[in-house]
Amino acid sequence: MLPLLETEAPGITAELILQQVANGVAKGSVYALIAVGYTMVYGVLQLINFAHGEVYMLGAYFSYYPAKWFGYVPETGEKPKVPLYLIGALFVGSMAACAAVGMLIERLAYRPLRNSSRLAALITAIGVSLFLQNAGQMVFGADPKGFPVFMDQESVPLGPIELANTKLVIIVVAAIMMTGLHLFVQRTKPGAAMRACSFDMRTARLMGVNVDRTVAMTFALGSAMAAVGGVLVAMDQPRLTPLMGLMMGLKAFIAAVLGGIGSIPGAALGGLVLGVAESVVGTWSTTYAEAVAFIVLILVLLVKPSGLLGKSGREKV
Amino acid sequence: MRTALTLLIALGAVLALSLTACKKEDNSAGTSGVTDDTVKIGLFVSTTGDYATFGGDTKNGVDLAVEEINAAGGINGKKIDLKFQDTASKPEEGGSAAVKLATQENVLVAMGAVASGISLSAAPVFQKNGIPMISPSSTNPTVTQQGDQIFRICFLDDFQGAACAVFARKDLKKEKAAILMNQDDAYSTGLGKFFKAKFEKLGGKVVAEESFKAKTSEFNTQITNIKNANPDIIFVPAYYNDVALIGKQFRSQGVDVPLLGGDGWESGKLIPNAGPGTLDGCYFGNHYSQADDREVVKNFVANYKKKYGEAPSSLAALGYDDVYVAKKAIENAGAFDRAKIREALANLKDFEGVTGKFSIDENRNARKPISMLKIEGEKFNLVRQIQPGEVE
Amino acid sequence: MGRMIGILVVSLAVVLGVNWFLDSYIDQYVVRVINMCGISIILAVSLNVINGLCGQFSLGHAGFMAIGAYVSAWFTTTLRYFDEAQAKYVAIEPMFSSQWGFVPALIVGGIAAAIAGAVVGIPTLRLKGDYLAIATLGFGEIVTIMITNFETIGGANGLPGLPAYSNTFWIFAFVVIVVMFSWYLQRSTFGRALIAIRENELAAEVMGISASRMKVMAFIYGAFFAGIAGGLLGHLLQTISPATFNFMKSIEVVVMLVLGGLGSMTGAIVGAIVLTALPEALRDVESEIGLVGVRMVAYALVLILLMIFRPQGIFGQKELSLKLLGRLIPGRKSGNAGGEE
Repeated sequence: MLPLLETEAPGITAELILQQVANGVAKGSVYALIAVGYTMVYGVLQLINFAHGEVYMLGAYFSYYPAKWFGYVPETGEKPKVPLYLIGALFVGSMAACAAVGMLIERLAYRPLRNSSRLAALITAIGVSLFLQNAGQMVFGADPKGFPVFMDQESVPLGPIELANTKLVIIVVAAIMMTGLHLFVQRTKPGAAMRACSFDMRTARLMGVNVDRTVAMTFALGSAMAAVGGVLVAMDQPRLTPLMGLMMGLKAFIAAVLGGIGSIPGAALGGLVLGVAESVVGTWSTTYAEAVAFIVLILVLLVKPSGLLGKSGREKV
Repeated sequence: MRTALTLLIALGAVLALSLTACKKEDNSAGTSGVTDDTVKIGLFVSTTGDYATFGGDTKNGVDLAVEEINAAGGINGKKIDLKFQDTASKPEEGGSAAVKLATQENVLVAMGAVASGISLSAAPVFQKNGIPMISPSSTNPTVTQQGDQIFRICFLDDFQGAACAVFARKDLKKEKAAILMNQDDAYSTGLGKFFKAKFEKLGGKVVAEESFKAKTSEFNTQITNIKNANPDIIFVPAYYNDVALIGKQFRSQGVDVPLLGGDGWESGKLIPNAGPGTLDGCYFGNHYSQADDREVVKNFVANYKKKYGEAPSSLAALGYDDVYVAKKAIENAGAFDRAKIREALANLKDFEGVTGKFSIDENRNARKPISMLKIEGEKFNLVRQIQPGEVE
Repeated sequence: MGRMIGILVVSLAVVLGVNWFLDSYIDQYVVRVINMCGISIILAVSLNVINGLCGQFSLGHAGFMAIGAYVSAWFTTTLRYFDEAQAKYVAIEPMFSSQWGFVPALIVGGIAAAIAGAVVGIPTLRLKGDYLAIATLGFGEIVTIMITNFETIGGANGLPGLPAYSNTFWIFAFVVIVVMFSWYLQRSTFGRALIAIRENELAAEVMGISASRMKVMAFIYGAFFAGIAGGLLGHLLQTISPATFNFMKSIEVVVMLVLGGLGSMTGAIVGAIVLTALPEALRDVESEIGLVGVRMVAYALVLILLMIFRPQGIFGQKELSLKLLGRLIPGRKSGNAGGEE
C-alpha cells in the first residue's frame, strides 16, 4: 500500500548518493542562512520568531523589483551582461531593507511584549507571520513571480558528480556570509554585547550593555542573512510567492534546533545535516523525504534537546 | 452548580442571538435567482491561499465571459448578476461559500471550483438544494458522482492520464517513463497514477516515480533520481508554474529527455518563466490549441489579451467556457427553471467552446478529445487529437 | 452524579429542540455557521485543557482532528480507491452503514485520536514551552504526510462521499458534553492538579502530583475531543482531505483560545464563536470593497494587537458567569471584572 515498499529505487550507487549529498549541501546552505536568524533571536529573547520565514520571502521580493527595474526580465528573452557590482548592490539593498523590516517587527510587535509571558510573544510571532503572508498576497499578488535571470543555469562537473552553477554560488556565498557572521559575533564589541545578552540579559544591562539596541541589531543581522538566502534562492529557483517562507521557515527552525539553538556554527551544521538527510532519504522515497525534517526534529528533541552543538543547561526552575 | 447552569444559559443565549438575525427564505420554487432584468449566477473559486493563482485565472475567464454576454444583451434578455465567493483554498470555506450561494444569494446556477477537494465539499450542498453546479476544472472522477446536479466541462484524471500514456507509448514510441508529481495535489497524483497504469498496460516500463511537496521550488533530489533511472520520457503532471521550474532544473542538470504533461501546463507564463528554449520539444495534452483558427478561440484569446495583458491559461479558458455552457443550458431549457436547466445540461450536445467541441455524457462529464501539443519556441503546435474512444 | 446526568438530559433535550427549530425556520447558511461554531467550540474547549489548564503548548490539534476524522470516516463511508495492481477501482463497504453507526464511529475516531495523544504526550513530556509547540507541530505535519501517502483513504485526493450525518443536534450534543466534562474537570482533583502543574511544576511534584501522568492525561483528554470534532467536521463537509488538517488549522484553534483567554473555558467558547462567525460576516464586506484577502490580514492584526494590549485575552483566566455579568452591568464600579488583574 505504501509507496515506500513498492518503489524499488533503480541501481543505487555510491555516485548517486554522493550526488544527493551535494544536492543536500546546496539545500542545507540555504537552511543554514535562515536558521541563524532563528538561533540568534532565540538565543537572546527565547522567542521563536515565526515571522522569520516571511522575512526571507520579503528578501526575495525586495530584490525582485529592482532587478526587474534594471531590465533583466525573463519575458524578453534577452540576457544583457550584468555587471557584478549590480548583483552585489542587489544583495546589499535587499539585506538593508530586510534588516529594517526585522528591526521594525521587533520594535512594533515584540518589544512591547518583552516582559510578558513567552507564550504571548510566540503567539504574536505567529500573528506577524500570518500578517506578512497575507499582506504579501495583497501587495505582491498571489501569482508567482518569475525572477530575472542573471546567469544561465548550467551544470558544472565536479569529479564524479555535477552541480548547477547557481547551486555553487549558493554554497560559496552562504559559507562566506556564515563565516563573516561568526567572526562578527566572536570578535567585535557589538558581537560581545550580543553574546552577553544571550547569556544573561539582566546582567548584561547592569554591565552597561544597551540591551534594546543589541536586540534590534540581532534582528537586523538575522534578517539580513535571511535576505541573502532569499536572493540566492530567487536566482536559483526563480519563482517567488508570498507563501514561500512558510515551509522554508519551519525547516530552517528545525535546522536551528538540530544544531543547538543559540549557536551560530550549530545553525550551519544543523542546516547542512538536515539538507543532506532530506536528499539522501529522497534517494529511496521522495514522498517520505518531506517527513524527514519533522522526524529529525522530534528525535533531536527527545534524545538531545540541546542539539548537536548547543550548550546543555537545564532550564532554571 | 450555579455556574454550570449559567454556562448553559449563556450558550443558549448565544445561539438564540445568532438566530434572530435571519429568517428562512422559501426557495423551493425552481425559478429563484431571477429578477425582471437579471439572473444570479454563483461563482466560487479560491482567490486567496494556495490555489489563488488558479482561482484567479478562472475568475478572469469568467469575468470576461460575463462582460461579453452582458454587453450582448444577456441571457434571454436578462443580464448576468455574478455572485462571487472566495473559498480561500480551504474545503470548509468551500462548503460555507456554497451554502451562502445556494440559500442567501439563491443563485440559479453555480460555477466552481478549481480544486476537486473544494468542489467535493460544495457539491452535496448544491445537490441538496437542487441547484445545478458546473465545475470548470475539477478533474477528480468522484466530483460528479456526488449527485445528478453536478456537472463538469473538463477532462477527467483517468482519461487525461491514460491519453498521455497512449501518446507516449504509441506515438512517441517511448519505452521507459519517469513520473514526477506533486504529492499534495490530487490532480497531479491522479494523472500520475492513471498514466502509470496505462503505460504499463501498453508494455512500457515506469522506471522512476518521484514526488515533491506543494510549494517546493527545489527538485534536485528528484531529478538526480530520475537521471539515474535513465528514462526516455518524463511525465510531469503539474501546473505551469511548477513545470517552468522543473524544466529549467532538468536542463541545468543535463537531462534533455522530453517532458510530457497535462492541461495544467497551458499558460502564457509557461515559456517566459521557463526561459526560451528550455521546454522545446516537450509535449502536453490540452483542451485546444491557442493557435486554433476557430472563431471562438481567436476571439477569446484576443479579448483576454486585451483585457488582462497576457495570454490565457487553460484554467481561464475553462472558466470562460463554463459561463457559456450555463448560458447555453438556460437558453436550451427555455425557462429560468433549475430542473429544466439541469435537463438541458444533461442533454448538452456538441457545444462549441474555446476548450473544444464537447457533449455531456451520462455521468455528467464532458466528453471531448484531448489535443496533444508540441512546444516549439513560443508556439504550442498541435501534433494530434486523441478521442475518448481511443483510450477506453 | 445524578445531577450531572439530569443536566445532560435537559440540555440534550434543549439541543434537540433547537435543532428542530433551526431546521424548520432558519436559513441554511446561518445553520451552517452555527454548526461550524459548535465544532470550533469543541476544539477550543478541548485544547484549553492542554494549553490553558495544564500550561502545555500544543500546536498539534489538527493532527488529532485528522485522525478522528479519517478513523470515523473509515467506519461510515464506502472507500473507493484505484488499485494499481488490478488497475481498477476497488470499493470497501463501510462497517456501519446506518445512521446508528455515526456515534460509535465518532467515538472510535476519538479513541484513536486519544491513543495518538498518549503516543505524543509520553515522549514529549521532557519538552517545555516553545519546544513542545514545535514538536507537536511536527507531529501534525507527519500525520498529514502519512495520510497523503495512504492510497486507500484517498491520499492527496482526500476522501469524498462521507454521509451527511453531522447536524446541529449531534454537534451541540458533543458541545454540551465537552463543556460539562471540562467544567467538572476544572473543579476536580485532576483539574486542580493540572492547574498546579501550570503554575509551578516543581512545587506540584513536591505536593505529590505526578506531573508526567497528569500531562499525558491532559493530552489524551484533549486529543479525544479533537478527534470527535474532526469526525463531526468530516461528516458535515462530507469530504476530508489532508489539506483540511494542515498546521494552519492548529494555529486557528490556538488563536481562538488566546483571544478568549488561555485557561478560561468560557473564554475559549467566546473565542471560538467570534473567530468562526467573524470571517463569515466579513465575507460580504470583502467582496464589496473589492479587496480580497483583507479578512486574513485583519485577523492577523487583531492577533498581534490583542497580544500587545491584552495578552491575557478577553477573559484572562476568569470564567464568564451570571455573577460577573451582574457586576458588569449596573454601575461599572467594579467594571473590567472581565479579567484585568
